Amino acid sequence: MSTDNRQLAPFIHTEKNAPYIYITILVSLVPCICCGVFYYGLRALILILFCMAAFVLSDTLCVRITGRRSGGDYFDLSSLVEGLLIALMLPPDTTLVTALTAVLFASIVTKQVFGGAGSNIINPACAGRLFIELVMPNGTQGLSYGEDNSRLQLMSLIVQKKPGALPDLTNLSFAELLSGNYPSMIGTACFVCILVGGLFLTLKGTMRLYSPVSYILTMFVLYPVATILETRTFSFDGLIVYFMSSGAVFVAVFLLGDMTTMPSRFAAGVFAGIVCGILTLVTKPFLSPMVSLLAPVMAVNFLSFVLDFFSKTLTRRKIRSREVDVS
Amino acid sequence: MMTHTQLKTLITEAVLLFILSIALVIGGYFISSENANKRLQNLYHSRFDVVMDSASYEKVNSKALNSYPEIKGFYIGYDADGAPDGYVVDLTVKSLYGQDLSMLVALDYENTRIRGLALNDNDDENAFVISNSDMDMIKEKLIGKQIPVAFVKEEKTDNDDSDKITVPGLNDGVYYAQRLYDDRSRYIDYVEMEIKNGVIKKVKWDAFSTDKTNQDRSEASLRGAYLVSGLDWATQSYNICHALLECQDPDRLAMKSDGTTDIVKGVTCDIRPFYELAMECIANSRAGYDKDKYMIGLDMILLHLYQKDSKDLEYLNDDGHVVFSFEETPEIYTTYNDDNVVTGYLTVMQIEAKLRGNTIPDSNNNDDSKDKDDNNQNNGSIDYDASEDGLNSGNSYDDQIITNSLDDLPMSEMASFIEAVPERYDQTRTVVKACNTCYKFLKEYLNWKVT
Repeated sequence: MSTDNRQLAPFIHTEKNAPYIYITILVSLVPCICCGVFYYGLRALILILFCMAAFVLSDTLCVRITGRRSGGDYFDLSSLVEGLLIALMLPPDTTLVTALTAVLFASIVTKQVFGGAGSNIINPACAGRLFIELVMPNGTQGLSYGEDNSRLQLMSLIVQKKPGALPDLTNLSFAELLSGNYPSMIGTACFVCILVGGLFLTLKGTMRLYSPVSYILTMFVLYPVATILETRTFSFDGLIVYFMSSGAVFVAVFLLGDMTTMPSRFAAGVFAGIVCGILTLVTKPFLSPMVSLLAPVMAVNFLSFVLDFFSKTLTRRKIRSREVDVS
Repeated sequence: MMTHTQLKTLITEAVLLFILSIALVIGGYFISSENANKRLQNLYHSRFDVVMDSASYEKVNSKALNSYPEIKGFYIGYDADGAPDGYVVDLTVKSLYGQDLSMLVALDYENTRIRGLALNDNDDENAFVISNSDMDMIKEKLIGKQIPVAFVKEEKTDNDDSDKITVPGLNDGVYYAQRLYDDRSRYIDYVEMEIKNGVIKKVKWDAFSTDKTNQDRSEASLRGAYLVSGLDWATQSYNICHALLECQDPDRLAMKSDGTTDIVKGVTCDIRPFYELAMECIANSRAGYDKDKYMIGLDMILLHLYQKDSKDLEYLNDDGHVVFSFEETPEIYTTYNDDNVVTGYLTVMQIEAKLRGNTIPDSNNNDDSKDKDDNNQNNGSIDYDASEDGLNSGNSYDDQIITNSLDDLPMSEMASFIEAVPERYDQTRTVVKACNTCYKFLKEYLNWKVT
């Protein structure tokens, strides 16, 4: 028997099991929650709690109906994570109906149909958010800002508000971009909060950095080219504003860093990140900002197992672990 | 599953992360809000400088706005020292034909005079369009005027139609009339009227008690000692007096045969005493029979009946009213026909003339211009049956309508009167409506007490 315990999968017993990973992700999202609730108030908090509760309820019902896992002491924390991710990617003035649509699609179609937690091919939160962006485009435009934004208003949870006048994002100061003090989704605005979350995940070893880093680097390198081709002009300020305000960093950290749906091997992860970055830049001029961010993520989710397969074949003579950390 | 140690560690880390996040978010907010505020102020300046050039603006969120869905935004402008400078109201009102007029109204902070008016861009199909030249003319009429604003009819000035608005032949002065007998509550009604430039400027309707120890009726009603249906009597008296000031002619109050009127808001009591005494005051004014002469006339009646004047009889109260009911001697003020049937009542002026042996003056002696068709046989009595029940006595349909409010504001509350821009009534009216909406909102927002 080999003494190298890194080859023991799937029988290994690591400290970083599924509940630990999911709780770590939940904790890493605390800064984004704080930012969203601070800027958008009660309705943001309600949307977050509603999405999490709805996702848990939907998953539990599906599991009971299909009889896949009845009873036991296992609580599927992935439902909470995915519900939270959906909520953080919603505009603050989203109605509960729109949020529920996203949650149900994510839970039933993209998660339970594929076998439940850990078996889904695509990221449910990403799919749910993309679904309402495509099916209910008017329901995802509720970005309040300035005088139109009140922390105590709740009507937008029931009645879809008309989108108010938004400032030109290119006029935002660096401090605003860093702090998230500009109209955006509930949890994707604050660059610092996302970075803190990402740093926490990295320190805890529950995020693979291959895809996020390669995604960001690809976009950083190719953005000038894409912009020049699109508008014949380029400014470094525009690059910074895009990175900090588009939600790309949130996508990189919390969607491309996902262990279930992204490739597990280094080469495959890097490749997936590069492909995702290129697709995002290519589709940016033609699609809405959220679709151009999320559709490429779903594309590389579909490619993940193929990429992993080829990566494994290429490196089969070397020692590789599918686990994050088995030391 | 996770160990307890792991869970404890994660919970501790979550709490620390939460505290760090709060610090980051709040700190970031305060660092970045200066720029955000600057941008917001630039936005406000670009919108509001056309109506009011303040150093800064602040949006106000008030519960009072819930009652005014037409108001899209309410802002306070501040000067460079941070002192309030004025209000800017962003609102959309409906025109007479249901179209939307979106505009900004700027008002002075202290006296709520209109400082600026500007139309908002409105690409809506249902938008009410006012050209820039028309808007400039409307601005000329309105800017500087205190809200609320109403229209003054041009014919009220020296043109041929002046008799439609004011009662002709009135002499300036203070005129007075009181009932010669008390009512069931032992009150004697009186009306005092001040006329300037042929226009009724002040009217007071009250009643004193024949029991000198009792309060006047208005005071008693305010204290709850005198009750009538609807509002308290003092308020109803105030309302009817204001209605007369507005319409200038008691006939236009459209008193019905039961003594009530439907066209004066807040008045449900019997206004017949007021109507009759106001008519008597008008007749006195036409005859130049002012309050002093009226009091002399009353004294003369008392002298005739009792050989003593009011002073000697101690019928004068502190306010100078003759507190005496002539109900014991009805023949002094009643006229009878040959069959000894009551045909009417004489006024003090007529009684005095009768006692002096002069020709009894007709109370309608200058009323030719009113072109009343029915020639009342009782020349000596007040003609209160001349008009149709509940309608005023004007000739045309327009005369039958009395406008006692504008935009749900009573005329008595109006602070300014303007003339509509010629051939642009709809436009002027809609802008006035916007200004009056601002007034109604401010009244609620500032909790103004209208006196």
